[in-house]
This record gives sequence, C-alpha cells and structure tokens, in this order.
Amino acid sequence: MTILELKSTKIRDLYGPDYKGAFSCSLRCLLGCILLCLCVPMLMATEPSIETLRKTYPDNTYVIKKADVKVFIDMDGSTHIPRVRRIMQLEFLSLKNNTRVGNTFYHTNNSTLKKAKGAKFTLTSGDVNDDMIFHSDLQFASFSKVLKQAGELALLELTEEFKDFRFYTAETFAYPVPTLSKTVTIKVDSSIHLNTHLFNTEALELKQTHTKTAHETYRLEVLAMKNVPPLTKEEAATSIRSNYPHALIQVQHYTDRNGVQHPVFNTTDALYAFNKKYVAQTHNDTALLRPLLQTIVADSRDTVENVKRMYKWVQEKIRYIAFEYEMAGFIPESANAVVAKTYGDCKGVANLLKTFLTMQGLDARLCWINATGDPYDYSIPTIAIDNHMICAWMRNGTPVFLDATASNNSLEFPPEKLQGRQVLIENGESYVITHVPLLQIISNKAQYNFKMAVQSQRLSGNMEATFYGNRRAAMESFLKQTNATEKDVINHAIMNRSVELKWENQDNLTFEGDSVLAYASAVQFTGHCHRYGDEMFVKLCPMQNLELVQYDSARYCDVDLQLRDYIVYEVDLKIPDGYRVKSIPDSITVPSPVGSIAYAYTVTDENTVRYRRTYSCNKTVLKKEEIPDWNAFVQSAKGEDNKRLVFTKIKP
Amino acid sequence: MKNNQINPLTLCLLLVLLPLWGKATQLVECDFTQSNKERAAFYKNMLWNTPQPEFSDTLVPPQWRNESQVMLCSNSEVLYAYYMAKMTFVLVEHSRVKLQDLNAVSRYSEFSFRDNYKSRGWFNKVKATFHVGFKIVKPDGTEHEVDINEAVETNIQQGRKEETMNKIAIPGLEMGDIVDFYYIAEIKFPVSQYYVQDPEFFPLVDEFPIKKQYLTLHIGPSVYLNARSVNGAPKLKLSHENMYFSSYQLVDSMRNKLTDNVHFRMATELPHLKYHGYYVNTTLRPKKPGNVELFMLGDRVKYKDHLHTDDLKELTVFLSKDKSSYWGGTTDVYASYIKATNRYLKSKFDKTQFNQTELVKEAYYFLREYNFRTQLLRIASNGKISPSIYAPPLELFSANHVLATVYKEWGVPFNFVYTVPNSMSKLDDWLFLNELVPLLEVMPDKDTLLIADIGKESFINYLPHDYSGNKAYRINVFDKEGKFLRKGGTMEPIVLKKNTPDDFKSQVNIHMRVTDFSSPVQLNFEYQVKGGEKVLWDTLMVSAYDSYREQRSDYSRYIVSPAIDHSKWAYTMSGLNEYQVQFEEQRRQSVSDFMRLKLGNQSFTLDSIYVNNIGRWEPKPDLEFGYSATATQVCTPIGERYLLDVGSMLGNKFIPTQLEDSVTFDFQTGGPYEVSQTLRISLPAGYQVKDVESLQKHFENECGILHISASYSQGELMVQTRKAAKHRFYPRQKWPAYTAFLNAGVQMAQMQVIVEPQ
Repeated sequence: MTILELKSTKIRDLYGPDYKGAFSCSLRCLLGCILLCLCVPMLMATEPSIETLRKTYPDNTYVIKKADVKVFIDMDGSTHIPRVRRIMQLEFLSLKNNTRVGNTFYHTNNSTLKKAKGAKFTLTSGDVNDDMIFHSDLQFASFSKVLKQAGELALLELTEEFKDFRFYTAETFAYPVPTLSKTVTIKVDSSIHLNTHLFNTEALELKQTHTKTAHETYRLEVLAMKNVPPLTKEEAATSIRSNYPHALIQVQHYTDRNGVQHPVFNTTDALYAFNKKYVAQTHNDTALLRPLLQTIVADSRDTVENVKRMYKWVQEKIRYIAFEYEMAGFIPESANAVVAKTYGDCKGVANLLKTFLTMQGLDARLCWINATGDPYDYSIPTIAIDNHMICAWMRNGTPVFLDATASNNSLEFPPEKLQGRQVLIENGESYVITHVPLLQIISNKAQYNFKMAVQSQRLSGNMEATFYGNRRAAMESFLKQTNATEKDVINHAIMNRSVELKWENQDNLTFEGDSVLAYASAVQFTGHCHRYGDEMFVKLCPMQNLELVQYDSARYCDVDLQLRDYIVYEVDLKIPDGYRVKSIPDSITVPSPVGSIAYAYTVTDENTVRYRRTYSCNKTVLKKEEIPDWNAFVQSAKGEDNKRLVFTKIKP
Repeated sequence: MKNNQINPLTLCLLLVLLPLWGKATQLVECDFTQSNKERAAFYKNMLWNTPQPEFSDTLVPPQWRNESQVMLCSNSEVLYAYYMAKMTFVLVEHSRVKLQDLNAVSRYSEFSFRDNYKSRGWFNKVKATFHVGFKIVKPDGTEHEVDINEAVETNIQQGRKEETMNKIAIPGLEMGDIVDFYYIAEIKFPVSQYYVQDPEFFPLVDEFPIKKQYLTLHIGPSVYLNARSVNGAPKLKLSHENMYFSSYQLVDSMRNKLTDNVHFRMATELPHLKYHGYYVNTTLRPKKPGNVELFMLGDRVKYKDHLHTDDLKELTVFLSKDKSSYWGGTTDVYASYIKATNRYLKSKFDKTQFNQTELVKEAYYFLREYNFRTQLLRIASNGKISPSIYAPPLELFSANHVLATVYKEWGVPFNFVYTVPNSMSKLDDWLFLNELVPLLEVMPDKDTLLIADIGKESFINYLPHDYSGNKAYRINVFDKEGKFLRKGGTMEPIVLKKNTPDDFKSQVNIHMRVTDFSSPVQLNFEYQVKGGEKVLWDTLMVSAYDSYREQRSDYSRYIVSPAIDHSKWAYTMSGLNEYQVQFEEQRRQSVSDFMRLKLGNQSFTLDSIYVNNIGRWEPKPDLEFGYSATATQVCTPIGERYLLDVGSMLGNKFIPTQLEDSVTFDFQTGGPYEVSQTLRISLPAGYQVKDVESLQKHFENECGILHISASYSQGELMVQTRKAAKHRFYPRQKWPAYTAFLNAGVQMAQMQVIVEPQ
C-alpha cells in the first residue's frame, strides 16, 4: 500500500463507509495532485490583493475571507429525535497593520456556543441586556484578536449545539464585515425532511446544490456564496430579515427507527398544534377575576362599550414587561397572575383580554402575528414566523384586533405595525389565517388649522391641531411619557421643533374620547413676511417638516417610515388692510414614491387667502431603490414650501 | 480630637455589645461578624419594623397633589468604620415614594440592583454585599412585600470580570400606592496607612418634591469627616456620640422639585452637602513632608467644615518640599519634563541674553506638546511603555511646578495663584483639593502673564471662562522686583481678570457666488480666529483626542514591533505617525460636522475644507480655517425676481427661539465673545439689489451688541455684522434682556433681500 493509499484509507475510516472518496487508486491521486499543483497558482492569481480589497472596502479594516458553516442534523441515538449541531469556521483577514478583528455571535438559552477543542483564542460571553425587554435569554459570545500585519489571518472555530432542534430556524449569511466567500453545508439525516427557503438572495452570487451521500444516508445541501454584504447599522432601517440574505429552515417531519413518521412543521396545522399545545398549559381561574371584571364593566351600556372598557383597563393597568426565557416565550402567563402582578408580556395581556371577553360571553381568540415586518407568512410554517401575540374579538364573525401592549390605541385602530399583516387566529382545534385590516391613511390624519394675520415681519394668529388614529396614539404616548406641561415637549411633539413657529400658550390640550387629540394655541410665524416697497412677500408653509429627510441612496436597507401619514396644514391668512393679492404660487402636486404633497392656494373671499398643504404617505416602508426619487421629491417639496405669495398696496 | 486606636477584635465585640442609643435600632448596632442573612434581617428590622414617625406619614401636602410623584420620606446613612485592617463602608438609602400618576407607576415598576461581589486576588480584596427590600403600601394602609427571590439574574462577563445584576418587577403597583424601598451596600476593603473617599455631593433638591429627608454620617475611630453645607443647606449636627462613633445628621423638609433643570449649576445654585470621610493611621504624623498626603493639611479633627486660607500657603510650601508627593512637580517622576523643556529652551535661547516673554511662551508650548506626545506613547503602549521614558500626565499642580522649576532656572519670576472654578464651587466654600485650580502668574520683563491648565483648553493669558473674574489667592514666591522670597513669601486675596468680548474674537469672511438662479450657489467661508476664541476652537477641533482616549484598547494597534530595543518594548514612530494622520482626519471631520450643525440646513453640501494653525502644541496664536460648499434653497423665485436668504449665511438657524419667559436660577451663557462677519454676495449679471437699507440694523442692551451694515455696488452686495456677547454669567432678572439679544440674532438669521432684474 502506498502512502497515498494509506492516507485515503484513513480518510475513509474517518468518514465511515458512506465516504465515496476520489482516492480509489494512487494513480488518480497522483493525477489529482498534479492538477491541483497546476490549479493552485491560477486560483491564487484570481484572489484579490490586499490593495484591491482596501480599495473595494475602504470603510473596513478587515474582512472575513472565508466562512464555512457546517450544520449537522441527525437522529440522536438515545432519544431518537433529531439534533442539530453547527460548526462555524471564520477566517478573518486584516487589511491594515495592527487591526483588531472579531465578531459577536448571538444565541438563546436553547443552544450552547463553545469554541472548538484546542482552539487558541478567548471567547467572551454573557447575557445581552435589552432595555426594551425585562428579561431576555439572549446571550452573546464574542471573539477579538489584534493582527499586527496587513494580510494576516485569524481563524475562529465555534460549535453551537441546540437543545431542541425546532429552535434552529434560520441561517443568516451576513456578518458585520464583508465576507468574501461563504459556504453553508447542511448535512441532514435522510430520515429527516427539511426545507430551506432563501430570502433576499437576489443580489448575491449564490449557488445552491443538493447531493446525497452513498447509500443515501445523508442529504447534503450546499449554499456557496461570494461577496456577502456586511450588516450595517443604518438609521431607520427595517428589520434585518427583511433586508439581508438568509435561509429560513423548516423541519417538516422525521421518521424514527421504527419507521414511524413524526410531523414537525410540515403544515400550518402542525405549527398551530405546536402553539396551541403551549397555550393550553395556561390555566385561568375566572371565578377569582369576576368581581374585578364587574367593576370594570359596571354600568356599561352595550357590548362595544364593554369591550372598550376591558381593553382600556388592560392597556392602562397592566404594564407591558417582556419576559423571554425558553418556553416562557410560548406559554402565556395566567390571567390571574397578570392581574395580580399588574404586569405581563404580550402573551400575558392577550390572554387576559381574551379571558375578560370570554367571561362576558363574547367570542375572543388568541392570535399569532409577526410585528417586526419580517418577509414571512404562514405558507412556510416555522416558529420564526410570528413573534407577537394579540387578541381578537370576533364581532359578528369579524375579528376586531386588540393589542393591549399598544397602550394608547383605540378599538378601531390597530397599531400601524400590525395593519396589513397576516395573522393566525385560534379557532378551537382549527385556526383561521387572515390579515389585520389595512386602514385608509386618512385614519391617521393630522390636521393643523391656522387663522393668521400679518403683523410686521411675522404672521400672528391661532392654531388648532387635531390628531386621529395611530397619529393620535403616537402623540398621546409621547405626551404621557413626558411632561405635557413642558413647552419643549409640546414643541417637539406637535410642532416638529420648528424654529419659525412660536406659540404663546399651551393650555388647551384636550383628549376627545379615545380617538381624537386636539390642541389649540396662539402662534406666530417669525420671519415669514418680507416687505419691499409697496409689496409684501409672505411664506405660508407654517413649519419645517421632519418627514422631509433625505436618505443616503447608497444605503443597504429599506427605510422604516413607521407610520402612514396624512398631514394637512390649512392656513387662512387675512389679506392686510390696504393690500391686494398680486400673485400666488401655482397649486401643484409633488409626487413621491410613497405618496405626494399637494399644494393649493386659493383666494377664498376678498379678505382671505387659503393655503392647503396635504402630505400623504401611503406606505410604511421606503424601498432602497426608491430613495433617489424620494430625495428629488424632498428637494422639490422644500422649494415649494419656500414659495411666497405677493401682496401689493392698493393704490388710491 | 479622637484618635483612640483600639484592638480590632475588641471593636468587633463592642460593636455587637454596644448599648442602645435610643429605642430605635441604629445602624451602628450592626454586627458585621454575623452572616449575610442575619444582617439582612437586622437591616429589615431596622428600617421597616422600628418605629419611625416620618416613615408612616402618608399625607401629600396639597400643593404637591398634581405632581407625578412625591418623596414622602428619605433616609440616607453612611457608616465609616475601620477595623481588622479593613475599611468598612455601609451605605443605606431608604425611601418612601407616593406614586400619583401612570408615569410614576411605570418608573417604579422595575428595579435593578447589583449582586454581592468579591474581587479576585489575594491582596486588596474588595468585598461588597448588597441588601434590598421593596414593599408597596396601598391607600388603605395594607402592605405587600415584594419577594426578592422573584428577581432574575443577568450575568455580565467582560474578559475576566464578571458581574451579576438582579432585576425585579414590582407586582400589583397602581396609582396612589406608596413604594417603600431600601438599598444597602456594605463595602469592605483592606487599608494600610490611609484611605480618602472621593468627595460626595448630596443635593437636597430633586426632580420631585421631598417632604422629609435625613442624611446621617456615622464616623468611627480613626476616621475623620470633612463636610460643608452649601447654598443654604441645613448644617450637619452631632446627633449621637459615644466613645467609638460620632453621628452627624442633616434634617431637611418640604423641598419643592427642581423646576428648571437647564439653567442651573449644582455647585453654585442648589442647596447641598459636600462631604468625604477619610481614615488615617494614627502613627502617621500630620504635616510631615514625605509621609502624608495633601488631604492631611490643616488640623486633623473629627469633623471639619471649612479649610483655612492658610492651608493654601501650607500647600505650596508642602509641594515645594515634598519629594514624594504625586503632585510635586519637582519630584523625580517629572524630571524628564523639566530636562526636556530645558534642553529645548537651550537650543532656542542664549542663556545670557534672551527675551523672557518669548521664553515663557516657548516653554509653555513645548511642554504642552511634550506632555501630549508622552501620553500618546503611554496610551499607545497600553501602559507598558518603558519607565525610562514614561512620566505621569501633567495635570494642574504638576504642570505648574514643572513650569515654575524651569522658569526659576531661567530667572523668570513667578507666583502661585489658586482659585476655584465657577462650575465647581466658590473659593469661600472650598473644601477638597479637587475643587482647587492652581494657576501660575509669570512676570517676564515686568510683564504679567497668567498660565492656566496646561492639559486641556487653556492658553497663556486667556483664562477659561470658568475662572474669569473669580476670587483667588496669590502666594508670592517672588516680590515685585523679581527677588525670590525664600520662605514662600506672603499670601494675598486677589480677583482674577474678567474676560471681555475683546479676548474672544473671531472674524468670518464669506463669499457667496450666485452664477445663475437655477444652479446651486457656490460658497466660500474663511474663518480667522484670534486670542481666547482660538482656545475654544482648539477645544472643538481636538475633541477627537478625548474620544480616542476612551477607546484605549484601540491604541494597541500602534505598537509596531515589540522587543526591538534593549528595553522590553520599543515603539517605532511609524505607528505613531499613522495615528497622527488619523487624528488630523478626525479634526477635520469635527470641523465639518460642526459646520453642518451650525448651518443647520440640509441643502448645504460641504465640498472642501482647509485648516491652518490648529492644534494644542503649535506655538501659533491664530487659527485659520475655511471651507467651500454648495447650497440650494438659498434663492426663492418670485416671478422674475428672487428672494435671497442672506440670514442663513450669517446666523445660526438653530438658536432657540422658544425660550422660557423666566428662569429660576442665575444663568450661564456662551459669552463673552465677539464675532465679526463680512458677507460678499456676487450676483449674476443683469441683476441688482435695491432695498439694502432694510438690512441695516443695530441692537444693543446690557447683554450684547448686534450691528449690521450693508452696501451694494457693481453687482456685489456686502453685509458686515458685529455680534458681541458681553458677559458670561447673569442674574436671573436679566433673562428678558438676554432673550432679546438672542432674538436679535435670530432675526439676523432670517434676513432676506430681493434681487431683481436691472
């Protein structure tokens, strides 16, 4: 036996009898080696130099030259259920001298992350503290090392083992720095049926191959990709999963050694059964809640008012405190516990609302929904789809969605982030999939009415501002969080911190029922009037608009606009005594990729000019490819906002 | 004076067996030999089960019924004890807060607290134990204690360090409830000769009203207290005393909330107590140079509430004699600074014949650069630099003494001057060394120059605003004839020079070219900054330095190659130069960011920027920088005419116009300064400006001057402005005058002019 044969035998031993290597004879090996020797210099020649990489990635001091992720999904010999193990090998390449390279990996308590045996580097780990979440089991493991010379490499090898295979839901491709090449190899036991669904890979050089090992014991799926863009921290970005390339993992079913097939997430039914199983573990003692409920709905006139009162009570009395820890992320706390503690997470408050409504004889259901705008729906059933729970009141068979974690939304207006989203509603042993209604943008209307008159270099008068729907809810949240008597707060919230608009009193903040917030004040527009000879030039746009922000067209992520808007400024300006209108700007509509601004100037009667500016935004997401058009729109709109009407003196 | 040194074991025993001082359980009765669990029970009993009338008061005074929350009672105690060669601190914070709206409920719905802590290592082991308790008192008087076991742990690991935080959610909290909670920290650490606590400030005002509050300081044997009540805060009074502990207490009640949290300076406006405790081994004799630290100056008494002015003189004498003092500039660790500065001066000046003023300045600038570069090397090496080239950073006292040593060697007379910055306190109230600022008054060729703070933004003869016009003490080292006073001379109270707008001047030349009205406008800005104003710009431009300092680990990248030199580490300057380049880039970025902020208009695009003469180490007094930009939205078309936005070139669009009608406190402003601007606007051929007169303006009041003049000639509009802010500090009554001055500036920023076809 030659040395080469010996080596190939060893390799065969290592990989087991399934290994069908290329080393069947020494001659083939020798030829292979010669070929390799010829090819390696050619391959090396195609590798970009450090200089080229520096030019390509001027903002980065290092890149990941090669990332190799191997995922092993096989059957656990003792428990006979699938298990998942990921091995990550990352090769960091410094582009400058004395560069600190590194990466931070995140995982939950459902998996453990360790460095590979014998690896010589330090891994720092700990809990991730998120101020928004009271307790999260999210953990991090971080590696960093200083490379002294440009072109130096550092290798990181980590192993992640999942306690429960069902929590392996996605494979994200990007890291915080550019990745020159990455390979994800998923080796799945053939008794496990698994699908991978790719998202946001259109712009990626990605090659997907499916092979099988000998005897078809394992299936191999290889995702080879090049030039994976880095994760960037961009302002107002939509979720990572809606922007960056990744694979969603769906384990459909597996077959045990007795040949029995066990469904996992093969259908939405299975996903619902999974959710339902955990929800069923919550026990509510309605008898204890009844006296409380009676005080909440006492003297209520009808069912709608009943529901409103219960909804409002939960919104106001139960503080939203998120607690995410292993299965606590799936099992709602009992309604009694939530009432006793006066706090709960989304599941806790949804379950409490459902309990209240059911006790009143109403049809109420729990609903699962994705609240972060991820690009999934229930056509791919996995637990990664929904990350939020709300309650639905089935009013005459039509769901009215109640999210008590949104503490200022009224019954008619579901939070903006949920509108139009697909939702899974429980329905006994079955379920219903529908969408949260997408309301007309006019439901979020903000209307500012000004009655103004020219006074020296400024305009003086009164303003009434009225807010509806989600605009009202956002405003109310802001005012409640801060001190509404502070001038700065009012200025910030209602007047967009305009330097040109000056108010004189702020005592007229009123809440009309639960759907309208109104505000009135005496105001001034400073510097809006310029006199020149017999003429007077007047700017009528009352304030700078924070919505008119330009974005970097080179950004990677779509822009999260948060709210679909409908903002109307209506200014009635009294024509100054002794003057007449000489010219008014043209009424015009400036279109934007997500809506428009319509400007209208009309002389309503002999004494008044009316200016109406209607800003509409029909989407909550501005696509990155729409940014150039958006920026052009912002420029045009600013020009229109600056336009003046001209008064001239009436000659006797 | 109580310097009784007792056997530590006896003290332990005595602490256990101390007779009760009253009916209520006292903190000094705590037995530190007990287990944590037993002490937790002791504290709980002391705070919750011992009758305390103020802590059972649930009534909110009528004037505070609309407040979000009211502190009904708060009790803070600090116990200082030394035994078993360990310093023991016990800090007790006990509060009862009435929650009157949902915001308050939300604020108190979660608490975080640290877990017990033990530092690693055999020596200098620090042990910290924490005890907490939370209960809710319902309006009907029922009490619900929160189970601490419900807290969830969060582990934070950073390298070798590990810290556990506990978070607890308060259940059943509603509007109208009272939250009664306490937090106790016991900290023990070994001390050999002495220990000095960092000064603490205990303000009596908060963002919510306080009905009753106590602060009690328990001082054990060999521990001393310095404390002073400032701005009308009640005085500390001896509340209990026995042979081991002296307890001093401050009682305060009915404090309204802080209504203005913008225009106030805590140290000079708010009533507060400043204090620290310190331990000194009785074998250390006070006032013996070489043995004791500076806090030991003056008489060592159990409780001291002021420092004698004589202490200042003593301080100077001390510094000049004490070879081992950290602050002493004449000590060996600073020898490299003195040697290097002298070497530099020798290369520049003939010792027999030289201009003293020039020498004073050169020495100052050189030392600034040398200090900066030495520290850069130290940081670059992560502190591993060879001791042969390492010297601690020059700060305040040490810089003064290095310079003083150098000047003395070159025969330039000087005196020491001490003051307290406005932001810290008042000279009459100074109690701690860290409040004191040493200045150096140098008298070259019968001129007088004042040198302040070499490390940061200061500059020869331009006082930072914080010191301007302050009371100070001058320690005469030389007499008026330049004769050295061997015994430290005399001390005299003086008042430092008050800065004027003349000291902080800048000139801005702006050229705006309007080629045609459809294209963006071309802009050129040139800044010439002189005198003290340069100091401020320097500060802005080198602010990057401080941010770099914080990212210390990143400096490791500048270690180029270890073990080249004979010493353990060697550093080539190439790494340092790379840093220097990045530093310059960072400074330019600072200017760029500042300009964007100043202009406050997104329609400006910065095209290029130049900066001359910036930097803290360059002996050039004037700064020049500028930039070119393009701008849109400057001209608004009106038919055939255009409305030209002149004001946006001249003023800051972000000056707040929405100012308060009045302020509660005396206020501090950005002045004094003077900014002159010349704006030239070249118009396209065939266009003219007629209403030049509308741009002429003059405003003057007790706070400032704003003068604008304009002329138009041959296609060019010229606007000249002079804006001078007269003072820095104003009494609150001057607020309307100050806002009038600011609004005049805003009106300047809104100036427009019509451009029309000829």
